[in-house]
Amino acid sequence: MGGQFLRGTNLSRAFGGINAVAGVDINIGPRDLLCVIGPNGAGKSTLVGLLSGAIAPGSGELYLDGERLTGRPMHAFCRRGVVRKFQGTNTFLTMTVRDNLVVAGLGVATYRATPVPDPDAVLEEVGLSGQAGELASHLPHGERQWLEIGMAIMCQPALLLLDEPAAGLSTKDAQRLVRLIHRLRERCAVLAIEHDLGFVQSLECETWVMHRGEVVRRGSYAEIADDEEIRRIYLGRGATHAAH
Amino acid sequence: MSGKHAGCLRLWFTQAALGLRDVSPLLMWSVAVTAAALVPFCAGPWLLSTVRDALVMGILALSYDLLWGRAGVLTLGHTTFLGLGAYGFAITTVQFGQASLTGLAAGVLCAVAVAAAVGYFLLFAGVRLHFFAIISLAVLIVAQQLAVSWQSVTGGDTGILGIPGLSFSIGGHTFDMSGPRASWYMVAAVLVAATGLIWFVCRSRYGKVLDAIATNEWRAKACGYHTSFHLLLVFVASAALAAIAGALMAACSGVVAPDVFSPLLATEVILWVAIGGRGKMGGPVIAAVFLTLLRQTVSSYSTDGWPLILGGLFLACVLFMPNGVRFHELLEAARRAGRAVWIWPQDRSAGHAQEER
Repeated sequence: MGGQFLRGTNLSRAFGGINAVAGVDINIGPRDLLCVIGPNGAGKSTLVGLLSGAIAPGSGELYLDGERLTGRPMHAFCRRGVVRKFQGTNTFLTMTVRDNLVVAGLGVATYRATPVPDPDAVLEEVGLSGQAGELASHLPHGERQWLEIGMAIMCQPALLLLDEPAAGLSTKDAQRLVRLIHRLRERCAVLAIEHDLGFVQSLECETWVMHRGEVVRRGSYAEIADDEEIRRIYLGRGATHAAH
Repeated sequence: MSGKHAGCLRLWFTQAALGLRDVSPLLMWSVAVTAAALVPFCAGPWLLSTVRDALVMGILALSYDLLWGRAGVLTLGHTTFLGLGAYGFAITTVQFGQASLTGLAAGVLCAVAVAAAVGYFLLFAGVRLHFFAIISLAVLIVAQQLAVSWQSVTGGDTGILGIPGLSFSIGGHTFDMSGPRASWYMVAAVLVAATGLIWFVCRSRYGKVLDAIATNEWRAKACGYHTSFHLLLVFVASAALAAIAGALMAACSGVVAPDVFSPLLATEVILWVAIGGRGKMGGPVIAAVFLTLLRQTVSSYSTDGWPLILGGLFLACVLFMPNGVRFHELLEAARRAGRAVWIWPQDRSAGHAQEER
């Protein structure tokens, strides 16, 4: 991978004796797009937690633009541009859709060089203009996903961490999301964790496979899909059937 | 660095243009200002001082509404700061013979220092919800014990008597605020000013940020907010306002005793805000004034009745009005009840008719 925005060396984190993430080295450049796949419990979400500062690493070091951030709180990561979209949905339920975006944009406003994005333009971008005045709790699950992505855009990401962004989206919406991610890539780096292999395939990007806390393969989606061992670990019977 | 903070403040506290939704709070506020200005002309001195003491409780309710209603921090020991304000004022003016304005400052500073210290160690360590509430109750008990046992300073169980009223001088003029009418205006002015200030702050984007932190603190952290810092800020501001209420209480009544640190009053504060509606400002103040007056009326008949009524109210509020008393909801309930009463005799007569057949 190219230049360096985020550099993590030998990142590890154990929960009660289980190594959720064990010795992962990661370098992300300013416009990289990276997808991480792996079976349940492979440590993907923990990896996002480590990179976003939500979880402090047990060992290893994290640098952002050369500044050491190991063990710093989550808001420090966010102020330097590492923005996270949570798995499932996590919004301010008692507030309107537009206020969710306004609040999301304010937290980092004075720490970023670029001006705060216009909430209405972001609403347009994620397709929620019609629901601007509704309470977030009244949105169906799929639209809350879009709201979360909008909130992440409001935080002016330099590196956007997407934890299962396509979960709960229809195939059509997932394709819309793929297009949005490609547009976002012109502004920032994106790391996505996903279960939906069709979604990963249509992103056409570098793909990593995690298994038991370690990154076992790095390559294009096509290479990964052809790898026998990966099939055994993750793609499982469905893919074997498809190959036969 | 300072430029960054100035930009931050401008961004957070700029006011949106006045809209339709501002009409009712502004109207309510103007009515309150007019009423506060006119009441002394039509009420006798006894009524005036009774309602004035209730207004002081209104200030206390306002401070708790900021903390619990806005920032979602529940405490069981909010009267700690009321007591610190009252004792700070009393000790400075009586024991040290300082001017009353110095006493007010001492009381507020004392509360701010305690709130900042307790809040820093608890909030920055991630202590929240019922854990925070229980520890705040412990702090209240400690303060109460201190007030009882540190006799040389606090006067022990009897407390401190003969506290002077508020007075201050501006440009050679001395304003004495100890008379019934002057102290009324003093208390009303503080209440009205504090309500207006908090309304302005909560109307700006910062109010939304506080709402967001109260709703989903974890998500707010992920948006780059140092949430513990914001909660501490609100906690300290709320303690300062409660201390102002305490100092006013001491100055108006002239006595302060250890029972200002009362857990019962701390529970009552929660009830005022719960009944008035969390985060509604006007509601909690009205509830506080009304319930304080009610308490005084009830205690003149029976001293044991009040905790019983308080408990009943609390239960009713939690069960039937979890969002506080809302006027239109009450109307709706009354309409439904009225209809039930209207239809019921008809049902019964219909039943009788069937039996006879």
